This record gives sequence, structure tokens and C-alpha cells, in this order.
Amino acid sequence: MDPESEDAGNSQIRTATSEQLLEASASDAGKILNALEFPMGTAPVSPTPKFSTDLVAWEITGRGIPPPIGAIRWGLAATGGAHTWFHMDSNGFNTFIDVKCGYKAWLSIYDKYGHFQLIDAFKDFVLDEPGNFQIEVILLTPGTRL
Amino acid sequence: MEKLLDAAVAQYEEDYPIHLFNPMQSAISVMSESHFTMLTASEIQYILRSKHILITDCASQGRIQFDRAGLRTLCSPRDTIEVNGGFQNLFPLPWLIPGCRSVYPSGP
Repeated sequence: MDPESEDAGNSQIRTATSEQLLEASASDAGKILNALEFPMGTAPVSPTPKFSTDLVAWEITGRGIPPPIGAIRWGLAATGGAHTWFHMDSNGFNTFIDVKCGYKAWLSIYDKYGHFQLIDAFKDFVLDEPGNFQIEVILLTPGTRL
Repeated sequence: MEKLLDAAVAQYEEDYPIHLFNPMQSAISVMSESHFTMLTASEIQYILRSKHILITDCASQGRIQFDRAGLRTLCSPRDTIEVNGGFQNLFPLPWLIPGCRSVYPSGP
């Protein structure tokens, strides 16, 4: 598949139920499934992180309408072995992830100076020849927040 | 994916990952929740310019199990959800996760 096509990354999207997710996890031969969108409209949003302004801005401009919590807090659930390719979360805005169950390996790629780059800077990245790019992996466990 | 993780492990020094043997060079700043809480907004922003922040003891998190009750906290068992599924491709570096299965015979 052409990685630049509009379908890239979405070609395997299917629908299922969480029950089927559970069934797949119970078997060694189960499919690897990755469910990425569980809106959590009742998730707590306080205390507001001291460097975040989204809820402050909503309070001032939202005219009394409750903030769209389900759009800014959502859950993920995947069976073992699921992965996503390199991407920037939420258009580069600050994002955090809490691990509540299982493990999640998080890979970062950055230049030889240890700096993050615009994702376009890695267009020529080749796994067999990482060149000046550095790759770092860290294992997130329950109780950690990245 | 296997090559990617191998490339990350190739940068270990004396079996230690970058964030342990050379924290300044690492893309990850590891700290406790109490330390994070004490930082000012500008201090946090300064770190986030070049690193991810990893909090290792996040007390506010609830724990769930990957079972029916745990998944019910995300949605009803009968709700239709979108999943991104592929063919079986077991995790290539099982030693990273205790008890993880692998089809690759060369892993330690």
C-alpha cells in the first residue's frame, strides 16, 4: 500500500464489540486488535494541569455549555502485539497517556543532538540505516503517566 | 517493528537504555509525581520543549483488569467499536515484557 495514500493506516479498520476484543485476548491464536476510540465523557478533568489552558478558555468562551470531555479524554484498548506507526498525537498539542492495565512500549525518534523534529524531517528514515537518528524505547506500566 | 526495536536496543550502553546511562541525551525525563507537582508551569514547558515527561508513580490512576468488568468501564459489551486489526504478528522482543509470547526464536 502506498503509505501516502488517503487510506494508509486505515485499511484494516473493522467494527467489533468489546466482547470480541476480550475473546481475541483469551487465545494465543487470537487476532491482534487495537481499539482506539472510547470517548470518556465523564472522566475527571480536574485538577487542571497548571500549564494547560483549554478548560480555562472553555470556561470563559463556552457560554455555560459543558466542555466536550469525551473529545479530550478517551480510552484505548488493545490485545497484545498491537502497534501504531509513527505519528504526532493530537496535532502536536500536548497529550498525556495513563496506563491502567498491561504494558505499552513507547518509541521516540529524534536527531543526533537529542532534539525532536517536525515529523517531515524523518521522511528519509530507513530502519536498516538509522544514520544520525536515534531511537529510544520505554516500557510504560500501570501507574505510569507519559 | 522488530528492526525498529533492535535499533533502539543497539543504542544501549552496558545493557542500560539511554534514559538510565545518559539522562541528558534521553528524550525522556523520568520523575516522581511529587517532583512533577512541585515544578512550575515554565519549568514543565521547558522540559517539554525537548523531552517527554514520564511520571513513574501516578497515584491518581485507577487500575483495571483486561476483563469484562474492565472493558465495561470503556463501553457496553454490545456497543459497536472500531478496531484496527491485522494478521497475527506476535511481539518481536518478548524479553521486554515478562511472560510475553513470541514467534521469534532468537530473542533473549
